[in-house]
Amino acid sequence: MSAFVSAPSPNSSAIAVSPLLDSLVSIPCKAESCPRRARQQLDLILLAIEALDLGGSEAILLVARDLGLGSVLKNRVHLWQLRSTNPLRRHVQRRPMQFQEAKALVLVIGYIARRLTVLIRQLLLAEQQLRDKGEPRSQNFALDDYLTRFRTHFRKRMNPKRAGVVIYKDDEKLNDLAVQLLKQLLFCTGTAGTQRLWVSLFDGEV
Amino acid sequence: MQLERNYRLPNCTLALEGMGDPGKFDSLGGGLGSQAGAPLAILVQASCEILDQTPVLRGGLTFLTHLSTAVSRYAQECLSGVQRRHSLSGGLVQLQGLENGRHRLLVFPEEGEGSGTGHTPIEMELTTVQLFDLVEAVDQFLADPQTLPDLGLLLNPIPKREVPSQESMAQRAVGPALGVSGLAIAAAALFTLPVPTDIRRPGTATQPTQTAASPGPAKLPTGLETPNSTITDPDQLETIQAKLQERLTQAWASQPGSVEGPGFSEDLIYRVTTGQDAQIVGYRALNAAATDFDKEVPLSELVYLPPDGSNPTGEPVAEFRVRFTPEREVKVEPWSAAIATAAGEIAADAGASETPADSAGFSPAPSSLATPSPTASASPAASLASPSPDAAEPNTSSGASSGASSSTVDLNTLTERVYDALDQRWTADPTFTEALTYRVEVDSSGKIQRLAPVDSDAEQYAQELGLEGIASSGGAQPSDLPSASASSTSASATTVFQAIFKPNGVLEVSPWDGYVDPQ
Repeated sequence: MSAFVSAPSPNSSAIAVSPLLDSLVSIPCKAESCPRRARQQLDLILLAIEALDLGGSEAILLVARDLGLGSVLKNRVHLWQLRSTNPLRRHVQRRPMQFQEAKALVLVIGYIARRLTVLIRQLLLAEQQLRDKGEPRSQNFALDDYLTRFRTHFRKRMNPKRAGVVIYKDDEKLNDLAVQLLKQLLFCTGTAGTQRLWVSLFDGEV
Repeated sequence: MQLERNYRLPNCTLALEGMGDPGKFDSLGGGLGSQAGAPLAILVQASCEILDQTPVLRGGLTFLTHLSTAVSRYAQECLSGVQRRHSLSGGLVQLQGLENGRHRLLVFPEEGEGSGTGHTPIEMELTTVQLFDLVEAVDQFLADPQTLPDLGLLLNPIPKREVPSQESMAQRAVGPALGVSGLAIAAAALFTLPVPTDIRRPGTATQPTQTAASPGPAKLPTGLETPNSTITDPDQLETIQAKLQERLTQAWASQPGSVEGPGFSEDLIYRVTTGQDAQIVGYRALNAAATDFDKEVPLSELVYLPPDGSNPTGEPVAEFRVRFTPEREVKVEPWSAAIATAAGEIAADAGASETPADSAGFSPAPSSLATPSPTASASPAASLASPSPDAAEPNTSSGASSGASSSTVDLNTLTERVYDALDQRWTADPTFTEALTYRVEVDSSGKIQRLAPVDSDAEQYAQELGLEGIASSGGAQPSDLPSASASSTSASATTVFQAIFKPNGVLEVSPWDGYVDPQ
């Protein structure tokens, strides 16, 4: 009988998580939790990911677990709560989004975006070509699919009375938003993508 | 040793040529030429080629650093949507967003570049994917420890200061505009308020005394005193007199302690002012006994106190002389017919103000004294044996006798002269402890005709004050005088003044009847 005690497993995941979270530099932000624009931006990018890939919503949770961020993004409900801190949502959760939670989301987004690099580039190229020719976006099926899914999700989840949502009452405007988010996702696929995304969340807030 | 680094991406290729640091010798490499492990420390040339775009961008280290910084900043702006207020100034490389979703890249030639490129900047339009590839190439180069290891990616969020305000200029200007307009409106509203011309201290407004050399400030102490008109109609006076008599008799009879005899042995004389309804608005004791036995008579209880503490304004008043005899009799007679008796006591604020409207002295409100009518100048001046200059005029409204007749300017001059004359004589230090009042009569040239002390104290100290022989006749005793003041001698030539000598060395001279109200 050996008096040999092994370290309990929950701690190990915490230790594994922290280096990854520390890879994102901490921002000298005066606020206690994430600013408004950051919450909104994260939710919209996740929305774009869901619109890109059918398995998007499940993938987010799986990736979180794979990356060892399961302690921060605990379960589906928790993830939904975090995303619902977006002030444009119909049912806004009045809870703060902690910096750690935001970092975890950024890491997940970067990982998934890198996986979807090819698709993102294809869609953007198609969009540019159609625009140069002056043709409507619906010509390209993949692009059209993405845009339609994005619009559906957006209208379903966002509160139409909000000023930030009213400007997207027009479908064309919403399409433009979808394309813009696609471009931002493209930047997330780079080698410094997660860093760039994380820092960009605090532009104008510090 | 020539070193080369290439970062290839689908749309962009970044090629760096340079050398390793000659100072460092890579031991791993060994041998000649095998410096593969050495980092590229010195850059010779950097070239950036973007697919389908000409020309190829070339430059040295400066160009490379400028390119890296500009591209990195622009990428952050694309990601967040927040633009900086001031872009990099003096930068060789600039990026701008365009309407069609593309991006314009401007590259300015370096200083001292060959004249081949000229001074016009190179301009390129990049699609987003091309831009991203450029960003990625730069990121890879910066992250490479083997290439210019001193350069690294530095990302900082844009501080709040550098972000232009989200509100439009119009919205931001609303606040200050509201403030300024509010101020303008308030200023206009307050501008319509009248500027006060006559500023007085409360409490002293009723004493038109004259000190030093300043000719009297205002004509009438309008401060707290309100001019009341005197009732002159004989019928009315009679009615009021009867009422007053009845009231006083009743009140005195019902007073407790009236069963025993009254405590005084001589008549108590008061000057009482009443309103139209015989309501007593004020009274003043005219002899010493009256002051002492004030409690025995019901005057204090019957006095009507207006709620705001001042005299009822504008109401016509009637004045009577009331006598309370030891036999418990009350005798009332109208003041204009009454004699000026020597009460032997004059209030310190003996500045009689003469107007057609006067109010009584001894009222709760600090009003000035009033001379009722010019006739019996209410002088408790004992020495008033001789006719008072402003006497014998039952018509109060004339008020234009004697002192009143002199214009204000003359009055001021006379006052000054009297003051000077008295001041010259008063050289000794005051030994008395209370103010001494004298009645001074002067002619129109300012020469003192007679001077009379008002009370016994004044008489006592007259010598000390150097007043002996200042005028023709000395003072008489403060005693009751026969009602002889009705006659008036050269009324128009003589002016009466009141001189008060105070223990603190101050001399005050003022007209006996006060200043004329120019109403």
